[in-house]
Amino acid sequence: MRLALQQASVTVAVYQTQESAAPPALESQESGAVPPPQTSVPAPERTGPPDTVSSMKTGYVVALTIFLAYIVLLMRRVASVRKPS
Amino acid sequence: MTTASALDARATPVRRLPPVDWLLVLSALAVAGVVARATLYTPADAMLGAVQRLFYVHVPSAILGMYVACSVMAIAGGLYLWIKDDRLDRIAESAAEVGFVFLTVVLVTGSIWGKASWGTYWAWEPRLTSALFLWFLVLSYLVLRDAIENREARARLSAVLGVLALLLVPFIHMTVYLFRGLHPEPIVLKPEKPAMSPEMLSTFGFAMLAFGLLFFAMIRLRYQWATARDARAELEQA
Amino acid sequence: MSNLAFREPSFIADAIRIARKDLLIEFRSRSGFLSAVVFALLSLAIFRFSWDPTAVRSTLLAPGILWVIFTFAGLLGLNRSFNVEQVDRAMDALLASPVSREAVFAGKALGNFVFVMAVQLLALPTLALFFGLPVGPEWWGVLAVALLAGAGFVAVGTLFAAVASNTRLAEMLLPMLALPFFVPVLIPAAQATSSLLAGRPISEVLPELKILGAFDIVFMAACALAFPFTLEE
Repeated sequence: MRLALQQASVTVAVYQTQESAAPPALESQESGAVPPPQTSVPAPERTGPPDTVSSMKTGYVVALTIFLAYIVLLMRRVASVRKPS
Repeated sequence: MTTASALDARATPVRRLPPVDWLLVLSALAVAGVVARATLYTPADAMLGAVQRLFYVHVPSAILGMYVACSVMAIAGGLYLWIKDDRLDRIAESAAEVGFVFLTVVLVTGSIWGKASWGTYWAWEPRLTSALFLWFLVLSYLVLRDAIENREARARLSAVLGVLALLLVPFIHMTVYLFRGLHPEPIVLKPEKPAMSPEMLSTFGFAMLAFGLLFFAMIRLRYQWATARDARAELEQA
Repeated sequence: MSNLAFREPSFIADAIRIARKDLLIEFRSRSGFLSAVVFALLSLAIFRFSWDPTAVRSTLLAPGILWVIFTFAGLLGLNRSFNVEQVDRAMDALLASPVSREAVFAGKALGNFVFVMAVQLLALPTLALFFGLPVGPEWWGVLAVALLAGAGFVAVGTLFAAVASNTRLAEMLLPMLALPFFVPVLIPAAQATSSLLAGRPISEVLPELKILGAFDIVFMAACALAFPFTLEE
C-alpha cells in the first residue's frame, strides 16, 4: 500500500516536472507565432522533462570526437607520407 | 612560379613536417580550456537550460566552417584559375576539407540542440536547410577532387566548382527563404539572439579564438601534408 | 574577336551550328531522346500508382513529381552531350576549329535546352492526363516557368557535364555536382507550377520567376566564362 502510494506520488512528481519544465521553453518561443501549426514537422512530443544536461554532454562529446577523429586522420596521413617508400 | 614552389617543396617536404605540430597541440589545449569553461563555469541560459552551452561550439564552428572555409575555398580556387600556382590549390583543398569537418560539427551539434530545445532533430528551417546544402556542396567538391587523377586537371576543375559554389550560395539563401514564406513555421526556431551576460560573451570570445586556432592549425597541417604528398608524387614520377 | 568577325562565323551562328550538329546526331540515333522520354513517362506512371488520391490533392503533388522527373530525364541528356565528343576524340577537332570556346558552350547548352524542352513538352500533357489536372490557360504560365527553369538547368548542367566528362566517375558524378546547383531552379519552379495549377494569377508567382530569371542570367554568364577552364589547355 505504502509502496503504491510512493509510486503514485513519484508519478505525480514526474508529471509535475513535465508540466513545469517542458512547456515554458516551447511557449516562450511560440509566443510570437500567430499562424496555426501547419508544418511538416510533427509537433514536439515530450515523453519526459527536457534533460538538457545530457544533451549538452552528448553535443560536446560528439563534436570533440569529430575533431579528434579528423586530427587522427591527419596524423596518419602525415605518418604515411613521411615513411620512406 | 609553379616550378619554384614545386622545387621548394621537393627540397623540404620532411622539414616542413615537424614531429610534433605545436600549433595543433596549443589549439587542442585552448579548445579543452574553452570546453571546461563553457560547461562548468559559464551560466546556462535560463530558458533553454544547459544545452544552450552548445552555443560555444556550434556558433564558432558555423562561422569558421560556413563563412571562412567556403570563402577561402572559392577565393583560392578563383586565384588558382588566374595565376595557376599549386599552393593556391592546396589551400583550397585544405580549407574545403577542414571546412567540411567544421560543417559536420555544426550540423550534429545543431541537431542535438534542436532535439533538446525544439523536440526534433531536424526541421526544414531556412538556416538549417542552407547549412545542409552547403555541406552537400563541400562534400561534392571533395568527391570531385577524389575522382580526378591528374593533378593539374583536379586543381582546375575543382576551382571551377569552388567559384561557382560561391555564386550559388546567395541563390540557395533566397530559395530557402521563399520556401519558408509559403510554409510558415509555427515556432520561431532559432531563438532570438539573447542579450548575453558578460560571462557568456567572454566565453564566446574565448571559444571563437580557440576554435579559430584549431581551424588554422588543422588547415596548416593539412596544407603541409598536401605539399609533402605532392612533392613525393613528383619524386616518384621522376 | 571583333576585328576577325567579318572573316569568322559569328558567335551565335557557331552556337546554332554546334547545337544543330548535336541535335542531328541525336535525331539520327534517337537513343538518348527516346530513353529520356520513356524514362519520364514511365516515372510519371509509377508515381501515379504510388499516389493515394484521397490523401493528397493532385495539384499539390503533381508539380513536385514533374520537376523531379524533369531533373533526372534532363541529366540523361546532359550526360550524353559530352560523351558524344569523346568518341574518336571529336572534342579536339571541335576545339581546333576557329570557334570560340564560349560558342562551343553556348551551342552545347542550346542543344541540351532543346532536348530537355522536348522531353518536357511530352511530359506536361502526360502529367495532366495521368493526374487528371485541369486543362486551361494556366498551362501557358507553366510553360513560361519551364522555359525559365530549363535555361538555368542547362546552363549549369552543361558546364558540369563538361567537368564530369573529365573524371573517372563521369556519369556517376554529374548528378552529385549538379543537383545542389539545381536547388534554386527546381524549388521555385515547383512552387510556381503549384500556384499556377491551383488557379492563381501569374502575378502571384513573380518572386519565383524573379529568382529563376536572376539565376538564368548569373549562371549563363558564369558558366560560359568558366567553360574554357574545363577544357584541357
